[in-house]
Amino acid sequence: MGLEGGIIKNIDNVQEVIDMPLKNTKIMITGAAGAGKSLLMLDRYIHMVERLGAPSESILVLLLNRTQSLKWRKKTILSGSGLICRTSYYGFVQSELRTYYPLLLKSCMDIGYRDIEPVFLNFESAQYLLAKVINKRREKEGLFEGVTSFSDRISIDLAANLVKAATSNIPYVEIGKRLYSALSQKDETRRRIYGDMDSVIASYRQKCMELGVFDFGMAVELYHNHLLQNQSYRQHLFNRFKHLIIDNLEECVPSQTDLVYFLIDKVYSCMISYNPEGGYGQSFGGNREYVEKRFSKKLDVLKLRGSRTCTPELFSFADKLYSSIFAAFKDTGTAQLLKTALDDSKTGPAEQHSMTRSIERNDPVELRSEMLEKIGERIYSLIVKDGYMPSDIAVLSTYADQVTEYVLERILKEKGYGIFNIGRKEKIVENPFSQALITLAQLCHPQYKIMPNSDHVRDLLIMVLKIDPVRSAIISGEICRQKPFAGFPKIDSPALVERTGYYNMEKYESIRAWIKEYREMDKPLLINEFFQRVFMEILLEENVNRDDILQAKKLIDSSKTFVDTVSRFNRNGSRDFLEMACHGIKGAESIFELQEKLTGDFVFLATPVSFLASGIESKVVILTSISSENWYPRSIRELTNPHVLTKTWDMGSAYTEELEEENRRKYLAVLMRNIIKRCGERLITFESDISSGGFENNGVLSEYFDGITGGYDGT
Amino acid sequence: MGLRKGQKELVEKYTGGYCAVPAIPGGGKTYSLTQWAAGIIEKGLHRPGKLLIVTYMNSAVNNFKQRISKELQLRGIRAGRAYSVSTIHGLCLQVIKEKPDLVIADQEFKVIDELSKVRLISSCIDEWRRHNEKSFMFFVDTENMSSGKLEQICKKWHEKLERVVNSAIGDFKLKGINAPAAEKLCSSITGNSLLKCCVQIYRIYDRKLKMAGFLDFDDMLFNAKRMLEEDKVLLEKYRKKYTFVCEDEAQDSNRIQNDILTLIAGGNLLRVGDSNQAICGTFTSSDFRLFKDFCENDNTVVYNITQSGRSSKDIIDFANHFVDYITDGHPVEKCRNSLIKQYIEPVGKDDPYANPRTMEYGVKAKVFSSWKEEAAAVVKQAIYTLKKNPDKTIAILAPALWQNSYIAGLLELKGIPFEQLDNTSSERNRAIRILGRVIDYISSPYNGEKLYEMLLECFIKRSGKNKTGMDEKKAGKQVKELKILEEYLSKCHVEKIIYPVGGQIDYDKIPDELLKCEIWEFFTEKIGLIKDFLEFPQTVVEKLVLYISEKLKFDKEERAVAQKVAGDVRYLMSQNPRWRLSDLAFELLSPKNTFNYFAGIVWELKGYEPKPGIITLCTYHKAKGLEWDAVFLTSLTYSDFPVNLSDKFIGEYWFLKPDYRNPNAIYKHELENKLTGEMVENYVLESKIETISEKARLLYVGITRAKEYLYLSGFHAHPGKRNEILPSKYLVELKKYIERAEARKRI
Repeated sequence: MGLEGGIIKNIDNVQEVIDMPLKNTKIMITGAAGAGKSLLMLDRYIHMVERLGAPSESILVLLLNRTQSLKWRKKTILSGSGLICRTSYYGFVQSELRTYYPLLLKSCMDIGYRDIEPVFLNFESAQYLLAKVINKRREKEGLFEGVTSFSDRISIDLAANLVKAATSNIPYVEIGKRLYSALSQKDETRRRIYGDMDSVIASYRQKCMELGVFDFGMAVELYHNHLLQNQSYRQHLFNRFKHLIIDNLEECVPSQTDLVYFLIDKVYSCMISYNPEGGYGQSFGGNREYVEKRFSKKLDVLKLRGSRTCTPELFSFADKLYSSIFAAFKDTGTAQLLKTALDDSKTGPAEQHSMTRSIERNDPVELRSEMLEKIGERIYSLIVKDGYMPSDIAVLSTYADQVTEYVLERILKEKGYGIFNIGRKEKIVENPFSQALITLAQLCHPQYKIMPNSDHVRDLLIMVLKIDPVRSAIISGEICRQKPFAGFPKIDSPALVERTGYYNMEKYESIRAWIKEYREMDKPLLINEFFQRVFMEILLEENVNRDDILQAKKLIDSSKTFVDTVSRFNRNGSRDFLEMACHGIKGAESIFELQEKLTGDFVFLATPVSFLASGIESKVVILTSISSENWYPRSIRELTNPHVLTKTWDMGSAYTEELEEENRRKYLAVLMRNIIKRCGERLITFESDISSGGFENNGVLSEYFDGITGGYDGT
Repeated sequence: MGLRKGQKELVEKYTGGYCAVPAIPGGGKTYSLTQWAAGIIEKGLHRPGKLLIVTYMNSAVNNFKQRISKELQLRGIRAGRAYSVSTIHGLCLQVIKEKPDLVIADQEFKVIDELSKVRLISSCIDEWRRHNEKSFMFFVDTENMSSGKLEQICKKWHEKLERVVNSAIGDFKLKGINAPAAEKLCSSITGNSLLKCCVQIYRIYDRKLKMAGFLDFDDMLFNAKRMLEEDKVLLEKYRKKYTFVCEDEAQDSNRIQNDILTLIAGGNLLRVGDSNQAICGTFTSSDFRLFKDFCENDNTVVYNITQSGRSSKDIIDFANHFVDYITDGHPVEKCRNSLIKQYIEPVGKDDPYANPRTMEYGVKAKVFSSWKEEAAAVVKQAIYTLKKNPDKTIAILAPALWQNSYIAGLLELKGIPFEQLDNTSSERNRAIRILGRVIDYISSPYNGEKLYEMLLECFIKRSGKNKTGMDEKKAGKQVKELKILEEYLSKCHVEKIIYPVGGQIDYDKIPDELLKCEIWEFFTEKIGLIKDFLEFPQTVVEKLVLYISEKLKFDKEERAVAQKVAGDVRYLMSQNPRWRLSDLAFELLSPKNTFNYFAGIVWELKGYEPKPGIITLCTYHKAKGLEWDAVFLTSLTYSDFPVNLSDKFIGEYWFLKPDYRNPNAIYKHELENKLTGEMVENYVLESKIETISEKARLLYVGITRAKEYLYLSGFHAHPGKRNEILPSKYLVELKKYIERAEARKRI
């Protein structure tokens, strides 16, 4: 492994590491997934604060994401500590920019609107704004002609390119050119498409700068190229943080790597965890190669061997699968690196083993639906017959879609168990309560010309009038029939009153009056204020439950952030929010909800990456559809290439298919090895001949499994 | 079963290189391919790669899979991954999914099904017409037409233009000409040109298709070929993966498919087919000459399979006579090579599967005075045959789906069990229809008629409470009761039954007549479930769909379909945020809908096996590869099976100006001219000759499906009138032969 250089020692006694002194302890903890690195760091942190007396506000803890942060939060309830600086890299960058905005303005003249607070776009809002521009220019100017993809999808690629470029310190003006010049097949169409990309990016970025609205990429760029260059900021930074704790350095983006590198010399102590077998975060811009380059010989290395979380059989199987996926891979440079990484892992137990105890392969069934049902039944028997807790089990699906979720949920629910999908965020409109609020907003704002749908109006009536679906549908029909825009009509025809029932009329009238009054206001409220008011004046009276209150809060928060941002672009943020909600924007994630689910007894459903990123350790891991091609995705996409938008990419060379094949293999190998090492006792696979779309599954992963386990076919 | 001439050579000798197996109908192609494949696997000759068998339909894919697997089992070999069977589209999808970025497509691109494609083209024509109404109208023969009639004609022309554009887009794509290139190619055309119109619509189509993240089937073929040609690594990978490539039904291959398979095969290519059964030219630009050329290639070893044990001698003689009639006596000389002179030989006397024998002469022909009369007579004769020979399998073949459905209607009325072999058949789409009925009701829960329709589809038909299998008296009683219920529900206030005030239905308001019915009790038992449907949260429609399928206890195949619908709903709804439940219901209830294809796949997994006692209905095209004891060939008229150049042709539209009546031939000719600079003198004539030839082969396919009995029929309608429809000349000619042969046999 390229990180070695200082002292390299195996850790025999973890406590010794935890007990190391506060000053001059600058170490890197290495080990495979599940070796116990994070746990060690957590214990060290508690020890530092509680025993060694380090003020908690002087320790900067950078973690991968919210789920990991939550795990720390749960376990680090410290007695009498001060401010806790535990965040993700992006969280850190944003909060620094916010706090030191005046300093930033001094060194960055491109920012317009200098008197107001900066606004940070989340990925979805950035993507929404980009999609707006792209769609319009695609229709009108024929931009991106030849690309088979939705504008939404193109905007995701563009937004991701911006982040990748920024975290690798590549100027945004070079994104399209850089990607194009790396293509091994160049042609006029592609040249034009990448030109279109640069043009869209440039105008989007310029507008954002003018308005003081920053997406992830811009925030990173501003932080590193401006704020961090400022001497007085640096002084502040050094004064505040004396200790560093960094988890999962191998998945970090290059700019974070640089930041950590920069801080190491200035702090009293640092402890950094690094998994030499990691690197699954490349599609998010993580760059393990860069970390190795940067940190080679920089720190003393302490190795944690083996795995705390998985059986020797699985540990060894993970390595075997890894090398078998890698077998056909010839390139020398990277291969050497990986080979050494592999040798490293062999320090763990690698006895001969029988595959039957820990690894269970189920023969393929014809249809995906059959497979899902079989999985549901297997989970049930794992719980009932084998005595596992639901939360011991994780089901990994490359999509973690609604259908999988529903089928498993149904089977488990019958038996009294639940499932939690950590791979998918709920859309706002998928929640009945939020949908009702949005429908009401549409009814109250005819000027936005977003006509409510009569199904939704009926659901609103069911919720607020508490009447049955049939009568609600009758009234909703009347409401949607109003011209020129839907509205609550006066119901005075005796026939209608007779059908809908007198007892509902009073309530109906009061809401009708409320809407009428609202519509007559001179100026509509901002959408978040509107939701607030509806919540207080209409819904709160109805015995709303805790979940609904939480939903309302999420909606109010999401819409406020959105309106704040989009309004700066001289757009009507309230209208845009309603439009975007109907198009399926996802809701803000509530940390409480997440915590509740993570600590509850649920079977986890996750995508492979969300499983790894969450740091969940499961006793049983079930891999679904392993003969599906989705397990072996291309690492490049039609408009992006994570390898080219990196610091380690050699400009002037072409990204060939050989290289892509190598990267794909590497990704699958790394992904599988990490997943299996996070699997405590049993690995179970399922597959079907026909995919959900009706085509045959031809993916390679099941063949690699066959190669080792003998598979179901013996040849 | 032993191996016959041709089969034996294939199985024993073929271990590599180019090989062609021309096989007459019933020659046991699947059997010999299975034997060959199992042999290769047994000897390990497939290693290090595997065998790839490419065939036409999903049903054939499954059939091959099952048969090879069974044969391997018999031989005691476990080698599930030693072979792959795929359709050409499945193979292309596999290739493109490897690297969608190479064709600048999103990884999650979808393949547009035929129906959605036609709908998309229709919307493109709409868009195009907004600026080009004059060009649109130019082709219509407006002389002596009233304005009301004109409107009707415009609608018709719009529909026909969809087909023309669809075909033109396919031609462009298979020639590798993308939309901008097509526009450039035709930029010099001045004046009114059908090709130019097609190109303008193609451009709009291309933009819309791509913006919606779709590839069409032609894109798949073209892109897969291009990727294999341009990406050496990819080609190498596929060559290593597949040691042998075997193409079934090779006569239906097209140029691109031919190229793709030749590329992947890298030398070991086996093709099996029958030039006389090439029947896909009109839809798929397939070219049976490719197979002929392959057979004639110096490097190709050819093993002919000429013996067939399928049909009786009478039918074999009849089929061979048809070959003679076409090759020697076809009235249009240019059509005489539409079949090659290749005779079916009966199997030897010692063959364990000898040709069947019949006492009486087994071929009959008749001409009726209308389609209705013909259909009724065919159904009557089919029922007679069914009752007389309960152990025999029977099929009725018709040129088009609507004719199948018409006959299905007649059989249904008579309570005769039948099975329809197409993806839109009501049996295959039952799950989709049930979902449609429930969602349709949920979208308007106050509508009593919809409530009744839902009850009928989901509960009454499903629970077997309909008349099939009931005695007549009981069935009659049920029909009466259903009528009472329907009448009541369509007029009542539904809320008073489903959600009565106070929780109790007010029985005073319900007619006594209904209360006495058994069906009323049945209905009231279901109210709880109906309420469950209505009260299920509708914000996540995919969950609603799955909930319905669960509550109605869908079986394995139906659940697969429901999951597909659920998965697609998400996509459909995100594409059309304005979509309501009623729109989804409308889609689900359309006889042709975007889920038919998947429902077909699921259905075909079950495999089709003709069953005695159940009449099979299918088109001539779908009958390929199948066989029945008795076969009815219907609608042999001069428009469906033209013989003379003066016959009325499908594809000719009387409402267009005389020079433009065959728009397909016209644009094709314009395109050829643009590409090669050549002018074909009589392109309409050429196109007619092609059509006549293909229809001759289609009839040959029909004839050779029968084992013991064959009935040919057609009709002569509206004699002497403008809309006269003549029986096909084939029917007239063959009838004479039948009369002679029958007389001979009697003697």
